[in-house]
Amino acid sequence: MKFKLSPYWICQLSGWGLATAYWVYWMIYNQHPSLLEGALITILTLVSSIGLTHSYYVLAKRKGWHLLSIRALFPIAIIAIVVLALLFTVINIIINYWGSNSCYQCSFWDAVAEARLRIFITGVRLMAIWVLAFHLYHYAQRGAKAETEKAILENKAYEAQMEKLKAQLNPHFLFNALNSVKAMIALDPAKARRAVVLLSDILRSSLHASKRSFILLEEELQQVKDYVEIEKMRFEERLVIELVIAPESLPAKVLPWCLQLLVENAIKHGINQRKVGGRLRIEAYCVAKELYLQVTNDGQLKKEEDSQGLGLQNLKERLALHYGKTAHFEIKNLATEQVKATIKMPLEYA
Amino acid sequence: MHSINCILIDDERLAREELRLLLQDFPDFIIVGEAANADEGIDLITRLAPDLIFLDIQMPEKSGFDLLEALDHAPQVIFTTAFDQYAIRAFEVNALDYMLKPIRKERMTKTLTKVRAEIQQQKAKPPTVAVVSKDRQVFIKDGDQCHFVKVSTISFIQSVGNYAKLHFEGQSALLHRSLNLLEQKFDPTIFFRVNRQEIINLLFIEKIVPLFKGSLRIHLKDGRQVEVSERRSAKFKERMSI
Repeated sequence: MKFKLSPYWICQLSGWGLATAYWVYWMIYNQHPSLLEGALITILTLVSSIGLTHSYYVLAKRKGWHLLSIRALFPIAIIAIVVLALLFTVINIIINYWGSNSCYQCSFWDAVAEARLRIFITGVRLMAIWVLAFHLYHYAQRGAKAETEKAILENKAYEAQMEKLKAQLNPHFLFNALNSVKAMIALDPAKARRAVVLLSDILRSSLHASKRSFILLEEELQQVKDYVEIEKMRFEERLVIELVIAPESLPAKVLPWCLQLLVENAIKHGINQRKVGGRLRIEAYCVAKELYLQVTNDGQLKKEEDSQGLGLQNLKERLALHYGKTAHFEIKNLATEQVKATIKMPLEYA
Repeated sequence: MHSINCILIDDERLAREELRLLLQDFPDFIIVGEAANADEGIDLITRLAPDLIFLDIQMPEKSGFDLLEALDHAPQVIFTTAFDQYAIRAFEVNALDYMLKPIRKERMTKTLTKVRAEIQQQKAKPPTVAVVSKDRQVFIKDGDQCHFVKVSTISFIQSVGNYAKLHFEGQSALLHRSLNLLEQKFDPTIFFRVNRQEIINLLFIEKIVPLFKGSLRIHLKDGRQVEVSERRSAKFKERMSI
């Protein structure tokens, strides 16, 4: 079996190993009278020091001190260093006294009086290095973690962007729309002119899609309206649209493309799968500092199939990354042969 | 020149209108019906027996492929689709006629010219009623693979459970039909049921070897050998002597 030391134990052992090497060097340099005693003292000091600092490690992890800010950590660290140094002093005096019977001809309390300051200062020095290293390591880790999270977030936004591009430039939507426009040019030129403008705006919004992480619901809604207007031209009586938007929700901040995604899914997997077409209801309202975006369409979700599509998966991840647990997404079949998708998120204004 | 009766099948009214506009330049193509989904399409095709259908692939509930599968024998088909070239490649190998929406006039002209020639050629021959003549084609969707098989290229048909396995031009495909049904549907002048399991195309026979008790072994041109059951051997000899 392969035994692998964690980074913590590598640092712990190598740090104290270095200190021990220094002590051994001094013992040899000072020509310590008894090699056996010297070795015993060194080993006991090493084990007790590791024990002390590891106790701090366990305590700090349990209390979450490694997650504190510098300001909050400072007093704790100072007290910890002093307490650790004191314990270090007591333990070392005892070890030294008992382990060095041969050279201490004096009483225990004389030995204490003689060595306490020297050992205490050593203790403070060593413990300060240890505590500092421990917390610096965690700061670096947190920094790296924050960087990683930021990178993930950016990547998700990028993916969403690509998803949006693909969905809107989706050959099926685009070519069918162009084909309809071609027919309209002959049959209803005014309508064709309108369709060209709508298509242009849809293309523009996907090509020049803003890199902002939030947009106003009002802007999002405009895109959605353009999109459903085009789809309405194609589906005609097969698509019935109903918009119910609470005015106070319009200036709210939302993730770009969140509503658009739900509407596209509702049309593609819902209405378009039905010979008779169906109704599409888009709602936005606010309840108790929460914003609800809701898309209801005729149709039924097929098991697992569409509910976990790439687009919805991405939406869930983006919601989680931006809002944590305060946002929620749900898509479900209603008893009324309808599918309802809901995004709940904190109501925030720009 | 005969006129060619067409049916347009597309769920989008504007797409059908667009086809109508395009067909204005081809007066021998006469639109006899329009359908907005596969079921309406199947109904129209069985009632009107058109020479040609313009068929959208992606439609609600049932696709264009589902429509073709539901037909005993498919009329000439031109697929119209907004799919990109990549998506259509799956059945391009079978040399199906398709046009990408929006449709280019050149493409329309080219496709219609080809299809017109094929239909005129068929119409010039005496009609074969109720059976699938050797010039007709059957549509087979076997998994992701779509085949449009000219009946005359089928050398051999094998019964596999509820399916029939058709062998043609070095390929094979499963069709959800019983052998009994195919025996009735296919032109009896070229297809012959040799035993319970197999039907062969008489045009693919290379050699006939008599076995004992009057039964026969037939060697087909593709190297396959089939045994004709005792009961069918008499029928076979009768057929071949005519």
